[in-house]
Amino acid sequence: MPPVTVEHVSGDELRTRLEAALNRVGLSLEELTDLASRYRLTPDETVVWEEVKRIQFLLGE
Amino acid sequence: MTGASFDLESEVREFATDVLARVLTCLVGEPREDDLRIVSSEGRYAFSYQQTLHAHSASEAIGILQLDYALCADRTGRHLAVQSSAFQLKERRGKKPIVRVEYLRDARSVPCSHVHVHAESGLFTELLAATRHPSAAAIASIHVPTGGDRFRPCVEDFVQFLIEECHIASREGWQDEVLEGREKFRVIQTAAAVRDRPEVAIAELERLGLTVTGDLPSTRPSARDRY
Repeated sequence: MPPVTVEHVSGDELRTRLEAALNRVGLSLEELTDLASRYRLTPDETVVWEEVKRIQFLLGE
Repeated sequence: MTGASFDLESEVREFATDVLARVLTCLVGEPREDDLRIVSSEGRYAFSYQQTLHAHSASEAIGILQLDYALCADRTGRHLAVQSSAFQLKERRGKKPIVRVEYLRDARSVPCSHVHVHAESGLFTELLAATRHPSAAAIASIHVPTGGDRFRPCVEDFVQFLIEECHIASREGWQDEVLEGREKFRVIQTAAAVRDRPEVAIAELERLGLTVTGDLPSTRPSARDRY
């Protein structure tokens, strides 16, 4: 079984990761959110959207 | 998991380890990452786990199981709470969902526990178009309710669904693992349901001939009653 590790991350690091995730699909957060709300995400955008939701939760947003 | 002994990070680690062990013990497949990394910030924890799925033990991967959890302390600060979860059956690249079972603790406009089916149905689309639904062509946009906070499906239910309904390859002994995990989940949810509605629990215990003494706390969180 793979080891389970906990990585503590600062808010600044989370925002950097958010930016990097959005850059992978070349969209702003607003554009990605809009596509998600209309169920128009491509497979790559879906993967990024999932990561964005995780980061937003960790940021308390 | 109560009082001064409550250690959220330990609870999160134990929870993640349990989930990981359960799916690896039940389903033929390999994790897609070398470790399960839980990311944490300010008392919030999140992880995403992917594992290959197979038609039989010797076949190539035919799909991906993805489990996502967002975890924190509950309203009392004494119990681990799932803020959101998603159990997904995805295509073999792990990008496009096929079926999603989701839970959103703070959902307002959709059922907090629901299923999305990524499929096409001319009849359903026709019906939704007639109601002027904003995404009539996207059947995946429909949130099929599955019972609210306390009666939602657990990960073991999803594993059993994959094995029995989708005929995904399983490992010997999976039934016992699923039963054990489901029982653990239901004990936790029953306890939470009692905390939600202690009056109902007391009445039921008294109906069984027991006597319950003591007073309920004058202030406590309201019962979770989401759709």
